Amino acid sequence: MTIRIPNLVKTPASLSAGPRIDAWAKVTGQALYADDIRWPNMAYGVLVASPYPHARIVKVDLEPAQAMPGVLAALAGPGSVAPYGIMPSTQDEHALATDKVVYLGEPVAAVAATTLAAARDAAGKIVCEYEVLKPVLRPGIEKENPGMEPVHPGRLEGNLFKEVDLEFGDTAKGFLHAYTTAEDTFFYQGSAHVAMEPHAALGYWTPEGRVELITATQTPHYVQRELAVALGIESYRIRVRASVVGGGFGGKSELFPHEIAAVLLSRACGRPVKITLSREEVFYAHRGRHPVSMRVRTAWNKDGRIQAMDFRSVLDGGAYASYGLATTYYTGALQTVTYTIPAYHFHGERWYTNKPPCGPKRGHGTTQPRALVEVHLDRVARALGIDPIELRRRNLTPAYSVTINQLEVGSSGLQACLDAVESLSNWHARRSRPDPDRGLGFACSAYLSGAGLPIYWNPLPHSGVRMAVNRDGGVQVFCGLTDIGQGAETMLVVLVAKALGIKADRIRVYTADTGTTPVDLGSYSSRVSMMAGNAVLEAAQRMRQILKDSVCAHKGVAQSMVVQDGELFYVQGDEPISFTQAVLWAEEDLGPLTTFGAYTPPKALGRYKGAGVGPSPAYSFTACVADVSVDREDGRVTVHHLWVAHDLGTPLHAPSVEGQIRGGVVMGLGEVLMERQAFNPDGRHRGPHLLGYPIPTIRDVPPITIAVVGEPDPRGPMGAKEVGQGPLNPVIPAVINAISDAVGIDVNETPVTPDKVLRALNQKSRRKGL
Amino acid sequence: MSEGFVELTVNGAPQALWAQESATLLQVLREILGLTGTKNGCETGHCGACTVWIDDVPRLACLTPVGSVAGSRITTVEGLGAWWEESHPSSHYHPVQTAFVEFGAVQCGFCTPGMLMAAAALLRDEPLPTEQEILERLAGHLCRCTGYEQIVRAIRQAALTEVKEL
Amino acid sequence: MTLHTRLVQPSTAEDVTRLLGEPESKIFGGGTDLVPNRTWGLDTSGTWVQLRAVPEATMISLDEEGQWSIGAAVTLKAILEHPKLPGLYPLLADAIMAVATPEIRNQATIGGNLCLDTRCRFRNQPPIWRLGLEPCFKSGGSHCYAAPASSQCVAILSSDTAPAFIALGARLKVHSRSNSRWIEALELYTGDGDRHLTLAPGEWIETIRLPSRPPLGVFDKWRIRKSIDFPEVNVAISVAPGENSREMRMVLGAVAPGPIRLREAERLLAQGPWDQDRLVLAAHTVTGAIHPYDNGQMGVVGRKRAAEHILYRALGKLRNMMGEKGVSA
Repeated sequence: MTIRIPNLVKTPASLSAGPRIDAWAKVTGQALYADDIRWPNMAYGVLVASPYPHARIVKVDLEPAQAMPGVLAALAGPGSVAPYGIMPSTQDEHALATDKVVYLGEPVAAVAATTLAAARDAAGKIVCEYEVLKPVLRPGIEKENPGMEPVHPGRLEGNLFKEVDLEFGDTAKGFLHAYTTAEDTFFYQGSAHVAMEPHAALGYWTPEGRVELITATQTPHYVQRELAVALGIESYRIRVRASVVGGGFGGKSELFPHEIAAVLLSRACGRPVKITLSREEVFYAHRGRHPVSMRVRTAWNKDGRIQAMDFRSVLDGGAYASYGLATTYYTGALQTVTYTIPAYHFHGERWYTNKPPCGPKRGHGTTQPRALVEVHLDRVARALGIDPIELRRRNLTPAYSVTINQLEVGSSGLQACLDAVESLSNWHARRSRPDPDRGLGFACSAYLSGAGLPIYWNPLPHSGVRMAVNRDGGVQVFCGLTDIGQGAETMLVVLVAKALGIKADRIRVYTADTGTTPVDLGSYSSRVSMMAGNAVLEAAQRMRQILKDSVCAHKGVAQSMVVQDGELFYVQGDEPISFTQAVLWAEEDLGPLTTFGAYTPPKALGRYKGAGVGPSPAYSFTACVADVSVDREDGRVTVHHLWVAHDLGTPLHAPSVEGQIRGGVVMGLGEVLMERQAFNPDGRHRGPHLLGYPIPTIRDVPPITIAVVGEPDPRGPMGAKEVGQGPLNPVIPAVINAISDAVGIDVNETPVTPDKVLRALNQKSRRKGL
Repeated sequence: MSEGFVELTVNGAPQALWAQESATLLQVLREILGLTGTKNGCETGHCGACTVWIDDVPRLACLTPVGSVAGSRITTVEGLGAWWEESHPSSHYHPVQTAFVEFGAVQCGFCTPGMLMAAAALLRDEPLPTEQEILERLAGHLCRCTGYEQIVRAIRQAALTEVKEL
Repeated sequence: MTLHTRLVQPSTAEDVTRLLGEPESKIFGGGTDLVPNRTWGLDTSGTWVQLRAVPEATMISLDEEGQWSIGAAVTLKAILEHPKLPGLYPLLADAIMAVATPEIRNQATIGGNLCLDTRCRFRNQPPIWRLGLEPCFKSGGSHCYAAPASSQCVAILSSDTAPAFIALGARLKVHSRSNSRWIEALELYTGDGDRHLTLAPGEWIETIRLPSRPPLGVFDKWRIRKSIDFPEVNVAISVAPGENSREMRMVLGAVAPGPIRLREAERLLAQGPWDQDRLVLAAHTVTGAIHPYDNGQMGVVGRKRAAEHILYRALGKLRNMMGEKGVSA
């Protein structure tokens, strides 16, 4: 493992630096992603999508398709399924649109045929007639267009999906007594996950009336639950398995129309049906980062300490709810986790628009406000004449404290993160001797290690593990968690090997299968290491005790006489006993050996409405410094170097930790410089493909120095916290702050494209009267 | 005639398949031959995931009508190890495969087969490439997970290992 | 409907011409542009005519007069790996290196890049995107989404090698039913984004001939990312040093349906020494010479500024090269 860290940064040791357990399958082409799977007699499904962002469906005629050669089944929306949605209180989706289409690309019909080509040809024959409606393309647009049909008619609130208003402490008083106040606005553009694997699902309605679904998902349990609602059948009849998943980033975290359609087509034709989305369809399935317009106001005392914050966000939610209820709250939730804010007012709104639905993307709802808060703090630092890092230092939320919005902050390495990037980047020396048009920017952030509450209310564990040890000496771990590329399965192996003191190659993991594995809620909110990790440790500790008990019983000695060291049990004055021998004795005593472990997060402190969003067993912290230059001629921003320090408690698996940090940082870099899920005035996506939506290539990535700092967290499994999402967040504001430092412009919108830089430079020179 | 038998040698094995001449090599590999190691990330040449060797040259299977490569030798990620084994009988796996495993270059793994085919071709052409050469040769391969650094590191390590063994 | 396109591989120029005369028939180079266009339903040709069995189209050769000829079906990779060409014509090598990605350069042909179909943000989109849209000029309709006031298609020629060949003074051998003829590279383009090549039905390019005395030259490209992307703007400049006069060619690409020769800038630079002011002035002429529409990735203002910027940068680079070679500026 070669995370390069100078001596001055304290780095916790990683539990493992071995290879991922799925790496060989992936380098030999053996790993089966959903589109790689082929079942006997399998048919191919294709969706027919709406060509309009907003229209009434007048007619869908399936007959021409049904008459095509090779066609097995064709379906349209009405009557097919019940409404569903990931959040129980906002179930507003149908697998196939019923009476209206509300975004361009929304599935309207589906067809299955013996070959993919036949299915595509048949899909092209389905006749859809529409009455085109004016699209609602941004929040509040109907105010200027009276009589405009709302996205979902019949709602009292019109297009307003959700409005939340929370106040903690006396914000007005904070502003009243302020030494100075400041205000900034910002528009954070939407962005897409762009997992390299397009979504795919294989559904089978078996002759016995059961449902099998293998799909590229992050959340098999939620997909099972939602599918039960959508199909109107009992959950236990549905088995959902995640295939090997080619990246998620939040984009595969709920039930999608193609998953339901595969099952419905299978029911209609009696064969397994596979549907794989095209890259274009993936951009429409979306559930990506919400575009958010924000305003922040802060009150300060003389010493540069925040007295109060007022934060407003308006989210452009797209056509459906998705996780939007949670997203809305998240845009206000974590501001207090990095900085002590004695009085805090948050107002958030999410609006329906005729665009692909937004949802959770890496950093879920916290990325946008973090960008504004950190950009704002830099401007305040400038106004107050305080070094930007120093200003943050004066305001850090202390470890083991409770925030004004009742979030329980546990271990915190935020201070260490600040110190690390400050020294690694040689911050002070560089800031005092800047090159022309070159600047340094700083930002920090915090993220959850798992949401404290599940998506649907229940008092059950968030993660369960069943562990079996067989007489061959092999250990089987069953857990519903899903490896989407982040290394979740390897994490299980690392923890079990450590907890049982055995070699990793004894361990096999069975995951992401609602038919065989105990429930884990899924790979979202950076919850897997924390929750499945703790659950598996509990199961392992119980197993360890069982084995030790049997050794004691068979040797007739007390517990204190037996010491386990690695795979050997030592009994005083006796030959060492092998792990397998201990297993055999235990099976002799007890029958097949099975233990269970489970994890439920601590109860949240807050009792207010909305208090469920924000609490987490532990928070990760990140700080970032960006070294950037700006070309005044063509507006191009060049990032020369990024320094990122992340506090994740104990690193469990070094390669995964490094991969998650670097991957998140580069994703942030894409968001700040080039990525935009933007739409033309007619509601068409700006470019639903990998040229129209560029993501960073290997040539676009600057050197990135990463440092892992912090201390073991008392709640984390062996002290671990999250690493999958947090490192993305500070990159965006750090780069913007560096741009500002380089050429003195205020950028209030992402992505910071050359056009915007040129415009800002222009405005600046005009202001100066040049 | 737009369809007919197309002869190819795929991973060393001769194949005669009935296909549309204009069907892409990607469709033929995945759907007809069941060689699903070659991935379909975009179908339009924008991501690099479907990189295979056509007569030892890395190319994009999604941009290649199978009729245009009739008679060619195709090597996919499934055949990379065997290709290496021909000249290095002691190993079933190409050094870049081993290095990707050992140096954390694999996360979700979807870009991996394309990356490996590009990297192995690079090392064949240039046994000890500079960092610049590695970056240039991988410039058409998108990866959303790793941030690329570990991939570059793995290729450099694979090269060093091989050079040491010489 | 899934298209079943026929692939043919004639072995003589005559057969190519004959096959191209058939309806819905097109030259197939490397397929790196044609195949994705077909995947998206933008290309509906029934026959793809490959040139790789036509000897003249597949060779790089040197004639008695010292002129290099490159067959249209030669891959970009083959040119880059040629023992002589990249050294003789670094401007061309730089332009080729800027094309797309290594894998695409391994496959794409030089003729294909020169004849690259024009592109537009309102047309080069996947199938669902285009479904509900009335066809634009290039799609058989009578409307332009990028420039509603325009009476013709303004799709962009995104070729990186076209400006390079024009700057180099390359000539193209055009085959037609009755004969073959030579044209200047710039003459290949109509300026209309819809039918952007001056080739008549059945006509095709067989070879590209380079001048025997390579001029000094510079190529530069502005794009969003450092790889993969088509140019938002590119520039190729050459100076052929003569005894008393110099012949200069400045060409901008990717801002219009064809490359644009910057004659005013050329004149300005011919009028006096290349001091800073003159270079700035020359580069600034692009603002009057080009009128990009908002159909690329970058906005119109950005593209104009980028054009001026890379032109100025390229001129500076060329001036330095001339200094090194002892050519007076």
